[in-house]
Amino acid sequence: MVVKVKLFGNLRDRTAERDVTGLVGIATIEGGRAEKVAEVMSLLRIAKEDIGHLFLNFSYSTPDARLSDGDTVSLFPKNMEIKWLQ
Amino acid sequence: MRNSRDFGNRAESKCFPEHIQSPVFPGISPCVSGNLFRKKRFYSYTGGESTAKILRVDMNKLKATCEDVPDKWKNLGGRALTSSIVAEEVPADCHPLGPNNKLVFAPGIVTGTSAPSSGRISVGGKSPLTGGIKEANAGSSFAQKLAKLGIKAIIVQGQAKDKCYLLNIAKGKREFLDASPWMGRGLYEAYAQLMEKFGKDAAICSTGIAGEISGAAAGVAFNDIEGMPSRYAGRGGLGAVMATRGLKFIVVDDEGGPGVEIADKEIFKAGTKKLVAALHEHAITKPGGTLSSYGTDALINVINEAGALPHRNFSSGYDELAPLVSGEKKAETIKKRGGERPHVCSPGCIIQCSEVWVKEGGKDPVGVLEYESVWALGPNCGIYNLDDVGELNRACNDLGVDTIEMGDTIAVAMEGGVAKFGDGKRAIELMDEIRRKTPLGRILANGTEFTGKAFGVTRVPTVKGQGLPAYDPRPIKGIGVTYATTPMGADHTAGYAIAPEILGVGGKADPLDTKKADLSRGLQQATAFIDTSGYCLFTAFAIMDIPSGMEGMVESCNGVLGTNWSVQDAVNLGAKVLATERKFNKAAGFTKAHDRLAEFFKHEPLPPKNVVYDVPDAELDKVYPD
Repeated sequence: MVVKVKLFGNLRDRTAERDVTGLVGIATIEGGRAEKVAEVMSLLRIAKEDIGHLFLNFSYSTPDARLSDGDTVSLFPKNMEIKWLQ
Repeated sequence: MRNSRDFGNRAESKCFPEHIQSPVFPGISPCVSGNLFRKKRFYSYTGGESTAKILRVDMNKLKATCEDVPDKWKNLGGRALTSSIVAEEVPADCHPLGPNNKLVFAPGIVTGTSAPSSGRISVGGKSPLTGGIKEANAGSSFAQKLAKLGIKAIIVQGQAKDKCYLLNIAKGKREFLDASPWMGRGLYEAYAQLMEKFGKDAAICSTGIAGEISGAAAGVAFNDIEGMPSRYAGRGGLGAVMATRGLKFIVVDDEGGPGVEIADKEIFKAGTKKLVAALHEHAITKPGGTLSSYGTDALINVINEAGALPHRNFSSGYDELAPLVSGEKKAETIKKRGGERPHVCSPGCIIQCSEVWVKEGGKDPVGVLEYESVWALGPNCGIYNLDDVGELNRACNDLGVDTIEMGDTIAVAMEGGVAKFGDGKRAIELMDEIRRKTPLGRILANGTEFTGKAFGVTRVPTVKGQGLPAYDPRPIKGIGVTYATTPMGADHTAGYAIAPEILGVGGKADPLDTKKADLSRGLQQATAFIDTSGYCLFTAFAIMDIPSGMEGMVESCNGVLGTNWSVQDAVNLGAKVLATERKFNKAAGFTKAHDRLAEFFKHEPLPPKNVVYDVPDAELDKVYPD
């Protein structure tokens, strides 16, 4: 199973790889190392409280969401959130 | 799947009567009883005899005279006042550019006081873009100065026949000056010259070249705090209404003005204190929060990742290049080039979402590049270069056109083969067609729908003739309900369903749930009140989540007016404004068939989610079952 992770703002520092714009960090999680979004975050040393917005395949999601092969997870840091209620 | 009533579960609700519940504000019912409007206190004025006046400007006679404010309008401001005046004085079936239309300006209820983030002014009239009633608003020192001068509204009527004029308003002074020398001139140059002539403290409002050619995309421009024409009551073509009155500029100086009367200073103070606390507490509006750090453009990456940022004339909801025009990229570039961020649009704003975008080397300031403008002139045209977007925004400000309408228009023109998607330089040349008043420029200045017809395009993203803003309604159903049903034509600010559907503000709603009539109606009512109060719509982020903030907003209005409105009364006032506006539109020929999105949204799936707009017509008709 391969999961692509897009890291916005200062979260991009968790990885050296960048997207085509050079502005978004990219991490690739392979080999079934994570079954849930929370485990992806753990592998990247990102705590739940560090997250402002979380999207899974273009839908708003949560760390508890289960992953499938080919999924894309997008993570925004707390200081870039445009929301209030958790 | 959650429905729009699943918003309970909030401790804040205890601040309000338990019997009233709302999906929009904790404790506020979206259902409105007509009886509430008949309560005597709703219209009572207990603050003594107001000295505030209505300034009636007759362009036929070149006379500007002060009138007492009729009792029925004494407790109104902003949108409630402009829409009430338009509904009463403008024949609904008149030609928007003809002699019977009027242009109305009204600062909000608290505008001109020390209330935070309240420098708003509403502009109203019959829209040449939609053919219905229009209220567009902007934040500018112009609003505050007008209010401090004791002017509750300006009604511009008639049409000067010989030339265009500048109306100069100051204490005890109303003079008409010949504005012909500025015809055909860009507004950046004109504002700089007017600031020199009238002093740097002067406030200016104007129509530009697009208005001169009666373009239905022409907005009404106001000065920012640097004196540039970057603050706009942009939507609906009111700049063309101003130009066809023969009025090019209004310049206001408030020196020696009486200020805004406050009927009960203690209540006003207590109310503003609560609102300030809420704005300082909320993650979006607080100093150093998202809006002051990145501006509204912080939404580019968020909405792109939600698959709902329209690219290349609403043909996709996602593009990997979007981060190149994001709030993060823009804030970083502004810092490097020596522009300004954060920044205020008008004195006294504590949210400070604004900025000054500059070219390389800190040259040629433009003013703010808002999310909607960046999207419209950027991704929607396949343009992912901030410098090109900045120049297109400069051209819009300079020519006096609405950035959203112009972005939609250029994208439709690109679809029609006038230019290639992504060709920023050609897009800038197209703006020059408007400046030169060429036939192509005249087509473009008339907006999205007109341009679609001119070039045989069928993917034309409009409602009631007005171009859609920066959220594709196919993956976010509630904002589509607002686009379809607001009396204004497609307008995200009329009922910002994105807040609960994407951002988790004011509750949480599943964006794909099609049952959104109650949600949209409640948001439209609350918004109509905020547009009346004079507060910036961005205060809604805080007051939707923090009930004491909403209480404070209403109390501050009570303090100014001497009223005793409850929060429920305030929302009811919003509902009454909407009823007035819909009545006007009905008389102008609008039916339920006009409360619909453009057809292609129903049958063209939007990548990457590949969804169509599937909210049933019956659900749309539930918003206003009249």
